[in-house]
Amino acid sequence: KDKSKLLLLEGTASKERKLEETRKQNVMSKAFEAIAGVRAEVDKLSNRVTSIEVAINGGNKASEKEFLVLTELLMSQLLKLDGIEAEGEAKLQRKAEVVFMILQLQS
Amino acid sequence: MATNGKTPAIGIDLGTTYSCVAVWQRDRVEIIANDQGNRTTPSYVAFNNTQRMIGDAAKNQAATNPTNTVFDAKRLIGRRFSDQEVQSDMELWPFKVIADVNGKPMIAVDYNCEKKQFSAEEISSMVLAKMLDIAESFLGSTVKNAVITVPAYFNDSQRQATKDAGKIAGLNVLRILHEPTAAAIAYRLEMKNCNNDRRNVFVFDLGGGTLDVSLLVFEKDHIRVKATTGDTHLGGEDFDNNMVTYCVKEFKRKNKMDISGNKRALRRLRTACEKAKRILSCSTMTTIEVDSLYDGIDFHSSISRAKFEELNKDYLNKCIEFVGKCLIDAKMDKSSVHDVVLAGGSTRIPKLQQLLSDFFDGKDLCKCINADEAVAYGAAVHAYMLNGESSEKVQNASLWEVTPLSLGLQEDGGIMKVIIPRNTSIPTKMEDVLTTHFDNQTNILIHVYEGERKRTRDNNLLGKFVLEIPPVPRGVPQISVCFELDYDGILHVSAEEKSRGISKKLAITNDKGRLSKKEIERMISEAEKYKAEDEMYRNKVQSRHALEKYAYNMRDAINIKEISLKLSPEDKKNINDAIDSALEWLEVSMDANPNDFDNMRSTLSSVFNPVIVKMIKDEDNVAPPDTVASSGSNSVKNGLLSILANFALDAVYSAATGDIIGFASVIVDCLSI
Repeated sequence: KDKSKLLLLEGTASKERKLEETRKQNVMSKAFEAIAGVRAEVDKLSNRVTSIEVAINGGNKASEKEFLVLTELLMSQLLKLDGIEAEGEAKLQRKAEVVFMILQLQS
Repeated sequence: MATNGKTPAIGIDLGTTYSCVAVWQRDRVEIIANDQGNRTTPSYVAFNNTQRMIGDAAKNQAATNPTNTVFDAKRLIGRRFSDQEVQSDMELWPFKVIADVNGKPMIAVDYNCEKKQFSAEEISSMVLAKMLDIAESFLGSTVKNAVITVPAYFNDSQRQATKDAGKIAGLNVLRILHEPTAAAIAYRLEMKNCNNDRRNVFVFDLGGGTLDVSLLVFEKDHIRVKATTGDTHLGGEDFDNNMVTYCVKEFKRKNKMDISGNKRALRRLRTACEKAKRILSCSTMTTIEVDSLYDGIDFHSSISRAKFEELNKDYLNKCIEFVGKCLIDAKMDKSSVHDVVLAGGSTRIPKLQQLLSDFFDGKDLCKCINADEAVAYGAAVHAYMLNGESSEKVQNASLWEVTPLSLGLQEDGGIMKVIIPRNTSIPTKMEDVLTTHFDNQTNILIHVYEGERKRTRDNNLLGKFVLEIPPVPRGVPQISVCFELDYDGILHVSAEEKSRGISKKLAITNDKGRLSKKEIERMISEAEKYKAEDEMYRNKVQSRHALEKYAYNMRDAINIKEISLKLSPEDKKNINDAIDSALEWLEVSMDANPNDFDNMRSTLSSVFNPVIVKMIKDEDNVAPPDTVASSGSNSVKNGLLSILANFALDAVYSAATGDIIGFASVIVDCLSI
């Protein structure tokens, strides 16, 4: 009889732990998803950055304005990234992405 | 609702930074969300070489196009270029403001590759038109009548100019309503226990950029603004600034680096601070975290609600000072205030609520209506009432408001003679008798001013006119001057020489700096032109999308196995080439006109149609119609047709023969209807 009671207790405890874990996992995967979303956008933008850089080096004036627009688009993605709540692994990823974007912005 | 054939009337809160629109529907107020799903819309208008944007679209692109993105038009409306406020505000704006020949401020922008000048009325009218648009698409009917709110401190010309803006936007402005009055109306409706006793209501409205405090008196069936004061440059943004300054200091202390010159870092910090501020309104602690803020160093700092309050102590105390000032103006003791009403997003700050509650000796504050929407809420209720509809829930309260500034004449020596003192309830009519200072004076010049200063040159000149009188010794003529303020707070002045019955009237509507009737008409027609241009741009974008979709659908269709197997490699290559060239053309020709899109579409279909029609015909020929197998081949044919239909490509049958002659894209066709 005692044994069964013990089992029950363990059951609830582990259930709670499991719930807690899935909750954390959910938060984490949400953050990952958001970061991935930003990354996809940034990848698109950085392609354009490279092509425009070539044009500007060639002395094209019109591209300079587009460069400004691109910088702004990157900036808005950066702000979006800043707004992502993240912990642990996701936080490291966010930081990595931010560092990458700042490099992009400085170029 | 509009059961009696009337169009619904809406309430618009035309704010400095954000605007909000609401309507009374099904016995309650509905705050209307815009096309982005936001219940408030930025009061922003932006121009570029291809289009005009209003609201969220304009604000979102503000940083890339600062000189052509106009906001804060409310700070310009009804003012003169030389006003001190205008001069100091101008330094903070990225867009250009110039004076026109009459000394009226004009906003200079580039629109469609042209230099254009817009008055503040026009910019505001664009915002109003956008709000109207939002309301119409929600209600699914046209809307004409509206109540627009203005701050209680707005003077005569600012009110008039706001009314003009409404006219330009194609609205019939039922009433220009004070913002605090609107907020109070909203709460009066919510307060179920409100009986018919006299109630003194204090309205505290702290928004993103401005503070307005007012004291209203609710009597049996009317509402009166007793006193009003405030600060035009105190609001949520100031709190953000203080937090940013604090963070910059923290960063310096921790890392010995000054980031105050780095625009990008400051902007990231500001976004993080604003977020933290909102969080601190509901929790007592939060962290401001920005990865790699400067030189690869992360910023991480926790901030408590107490710290936030400490940082903004001066601003918060200043708010309370205005509360005291307003009560003094109203000559009322704080103990006789029955209700304290909150409006504006920044009133969510717990410390501010506590300070207010303490000031009123622990009184509970009215905050059950979303603070950002209270003004529009009340305006909608009032619009509904003025529209001549009544409901059990809406008591028919007539409104008595007050004039925010004294109105008077210039006396000898440039001294202001007050005819209507400030905080007099409107409508009102007051008279005064003047006489001449010289013998045989033949005319008398009447200058009408508003303001509180002793000398007229410090006050605002509303208008002037000349009254001709017969020459008699000084002091003999009795000239009575009558000041009349109507429901909208707009002044009419008349003067009469009593013995001879010579009279002259002046409606203060067309003085310098205000739009004449003709100008308003011109602006209305221009507003329609701009709207048509917006429409044209939208059509262009739609045709572009339609063509793009058409091309992609075509490609997807021929890649489906059933169809792909039936086409020769050569045919497939031809179609693919045509699609590629169309997509390339789309990429390079950003400025094509609708005809070009049509041409491109027919080029595409001229390649696609013959191939597919042939494919279908072949299907018919495989099995002659009179054999038993025909049903089988028909089903294959139908199968093919339904696949094509999945890609929005519908068969077009020749009217004469009933044969299929081509395919039309449903997407494109529904546009051309």
